[in-house]
Amino acid sequence: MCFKNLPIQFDEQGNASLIDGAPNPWAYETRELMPLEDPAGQAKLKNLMERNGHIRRVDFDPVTRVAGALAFHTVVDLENRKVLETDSMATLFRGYEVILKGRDPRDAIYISSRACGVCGGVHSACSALALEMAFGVAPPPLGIVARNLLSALEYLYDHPLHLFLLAGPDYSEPAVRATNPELWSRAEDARCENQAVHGFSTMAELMTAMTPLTGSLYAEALHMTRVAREAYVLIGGKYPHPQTIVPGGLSATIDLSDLNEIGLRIGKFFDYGQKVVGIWNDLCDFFYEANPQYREIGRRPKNMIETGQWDDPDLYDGTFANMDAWGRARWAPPGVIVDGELRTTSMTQLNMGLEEFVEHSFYEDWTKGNGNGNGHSRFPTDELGNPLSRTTPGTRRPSRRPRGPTGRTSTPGRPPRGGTAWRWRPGRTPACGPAPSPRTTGTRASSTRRATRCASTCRAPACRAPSSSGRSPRTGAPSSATAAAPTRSPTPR
Amino acid sequence: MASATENGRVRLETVPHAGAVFGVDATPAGVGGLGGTVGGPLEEVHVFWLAGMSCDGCSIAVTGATNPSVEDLLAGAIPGVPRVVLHHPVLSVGAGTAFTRPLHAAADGTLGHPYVIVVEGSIPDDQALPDDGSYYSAMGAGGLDPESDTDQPVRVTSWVAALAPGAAAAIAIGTCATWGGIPAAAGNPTGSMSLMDFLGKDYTSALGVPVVNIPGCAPVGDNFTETVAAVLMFLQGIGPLPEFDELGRPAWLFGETVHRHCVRAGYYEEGVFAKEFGDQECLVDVGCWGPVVQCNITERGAINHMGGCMVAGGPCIGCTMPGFPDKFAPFYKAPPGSTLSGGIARTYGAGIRRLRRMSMRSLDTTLIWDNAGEIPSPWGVERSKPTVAANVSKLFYKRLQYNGSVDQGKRLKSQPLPESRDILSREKGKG
Repeated sequence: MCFKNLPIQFDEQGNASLIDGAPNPWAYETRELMPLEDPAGQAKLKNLMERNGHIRRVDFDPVTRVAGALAFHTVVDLENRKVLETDSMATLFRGYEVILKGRDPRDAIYISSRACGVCGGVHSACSALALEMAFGVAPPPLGIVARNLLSALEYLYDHPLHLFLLAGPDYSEPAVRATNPELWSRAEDARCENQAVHGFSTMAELMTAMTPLTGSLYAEALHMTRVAREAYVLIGGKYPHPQTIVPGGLSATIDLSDLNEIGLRIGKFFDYGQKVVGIWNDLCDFFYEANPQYREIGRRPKNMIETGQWDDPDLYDGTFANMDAWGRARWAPPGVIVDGELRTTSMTQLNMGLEEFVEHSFYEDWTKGNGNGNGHSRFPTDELGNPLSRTTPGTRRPSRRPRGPTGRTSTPGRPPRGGTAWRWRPGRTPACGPAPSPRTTGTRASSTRRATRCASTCRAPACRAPSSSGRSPRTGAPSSATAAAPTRSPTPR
Repeated sequence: MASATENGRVRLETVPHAGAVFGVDATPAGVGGLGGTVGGPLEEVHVFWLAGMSCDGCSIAVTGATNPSVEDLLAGAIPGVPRVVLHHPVLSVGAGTAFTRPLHAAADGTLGHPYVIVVEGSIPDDQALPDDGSYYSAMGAGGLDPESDTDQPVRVTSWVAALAPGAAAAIAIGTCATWGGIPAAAGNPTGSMSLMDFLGKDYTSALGVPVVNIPGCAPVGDNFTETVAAVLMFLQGIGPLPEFDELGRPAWLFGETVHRHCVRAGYYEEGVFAKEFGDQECLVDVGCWGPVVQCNITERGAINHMGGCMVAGGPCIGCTMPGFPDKFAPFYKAPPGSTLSGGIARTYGAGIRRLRRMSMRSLDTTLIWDNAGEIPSPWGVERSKPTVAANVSKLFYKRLQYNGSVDQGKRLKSQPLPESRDILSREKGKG
């Protein structure tokens, strides 16, 4: 069953209940991750750095070309090409959950949208869905169609943005020439398999076109993000932060002209989409062939969770009771994959398995006495009586961690590290795939990006080790907002 | 503060930090305005984009601009405008120290080129936090001292404070940086504020310009790129200093209310209002604050003249205004003021609507149809005969319209009707 690691059991009818006999079923432990996996690791590392010139601090701060403030601070043994310690951190805290408290719930659509301007429409859409469930509003079918259209247009803007403006420069001529000159001469001779689709005969030509600002593919992608956004704003009003998303669909007045102008713009993406697929197939093939170890980048257990998107206009009614049915009818259906194995497609089960931990954030633990939750579970079960964790995101009442007199014990300023923990994993701890050594990695920037994706999405403790995190460089004292990986306490089965 | 001389030029000697901006040759030269440097026109201007409590939405909005586009500015493709070298935490290619090196150089005054800072996102109150690495928004490791061997994160607010005095201009983009926005809304945990709040009333840039504010959440991208291009032309000496209002907003962009150029404003005039979402009329009753909000999105559109909040059907929530969001919340409630002004509009609007309907009835026919006494449309036009009152008012209307002029309708009436009117029935009659 999918809840190998959750204290939940199912009877023959599939009804969920807590496993009997667990005194505190939702308890979890936190573990300090030390540099060099050693309680004295911090001092040892400092000592190593002082004595050895090849052991150096290398910081990727800021990591550019990702949306959202991200940084890696590392200590690297340059001689042995080994990372001795690394911290990843989100270098931004605004407290949106706190700001949302005490406001008209309908305002959440406009306020939550402002959490991110790169995925600038999905937060308002999500708030509208939540309000529909809370108010018992079932949107009319055309309202759902219009909302689906809007979400789909966001993808058309987002993909060229990511592929050519954010990720693309890593594969461009200047980057490859600077970091892997041997690949450049190879690229000059490499024929493009998909020349018939995209028009570039050699890989070098293609990489030149990927060059930021001056490359034709870069410019075209920038233009195509605008084409998609033009379609979006016709019914969304503006982007980011659309103005027409309401419970029940869109408040847009949609007529034939809107559909015409949107339809013609979508039409441009049919050709462009094929071209982009051809380009990226060729790029991947080239790098895989140049160095097969590229295939290992980012390899790790396939743990994925997806709530689905694009509701069925005939089935979606916004109710919790029918959530499994309308969830499965989504065009992109929901599901949880653990270790490459599909565990569930039930939204109710997915909801039961979601927990959010705040050890590494600026937030007060709302399940504890001083976290506004007063130690009680606000919703021990969902609407259908299924057990819910105290840390389920739906029950959170976040408040800012209060600041201690020295700023140390609670340290609002230390970066939030980690976040939602992963209880869906089976008993064993998943580990990250081998990190590619700088020598075998194509471009320096590209290896950074890969590492970014891994560390920022993988919540497994093993992925964060070796990591110390708790350093406060000036005081040398560990702060409480340090890497404390939530682990499940043994649960009686 | 820069002072204007007789011929309208600014004396750079009087400007503090001018050396840091224009290098050692900081004396006024060129054809007008500030006139670049003695070495000739400016070739490049660096822009340091600093993101505080930001969602990156302003950056995305700027990539949507078309006149000029961001790639035009960065490529130096606009005649007369110096090339913009952009240091942007999301768009720049270099990361880590490669990214922060020029920031350090600008802070030290060793960059060798003039620079502008653009601040996106509110300014958190993290300068008030203990000096132990605490921050709400950080960028770069190692403190402001590039040689430091700590991995202390640098607060973005520290960068702003270090770079603002030597900048040729400080531009706040988006409602967060201009006024505070949502991170500064009631109940926020970070003590956020605007760039003007942070830098204070006495702040002026190295060239004596106070903070330039381009509000909007997110702003119209063209509002930003257009202003930047205008400021750069001024720095180059080939354009006038653009006009800014008392809050540092570009006056030509934010001088009008968004309602005045709204495609739905005509409904307000006739006293007709949307009752529910999706209606095509004026949105005041479903929460639109447009009549009192300074913004140009209904005129300029959101991207490439497309869209715009009320154009699409979204009520204005005042996102360009200093009062946003708290003074406009709850967003879905009609602004109380609209009860009175909307009520007045309903009253006179009802009269206006009737009068217009009367005129439209007469204007919706051709002279030939009038003369023939019938409308040749099989689409179902059935019209009652005009009432006596309508005929009387038409008479007076015509008197006024053609007073001192020629009634062309009368002229056509003296001409015969075209003989081949209704040709198919005629042919049939012949057969």
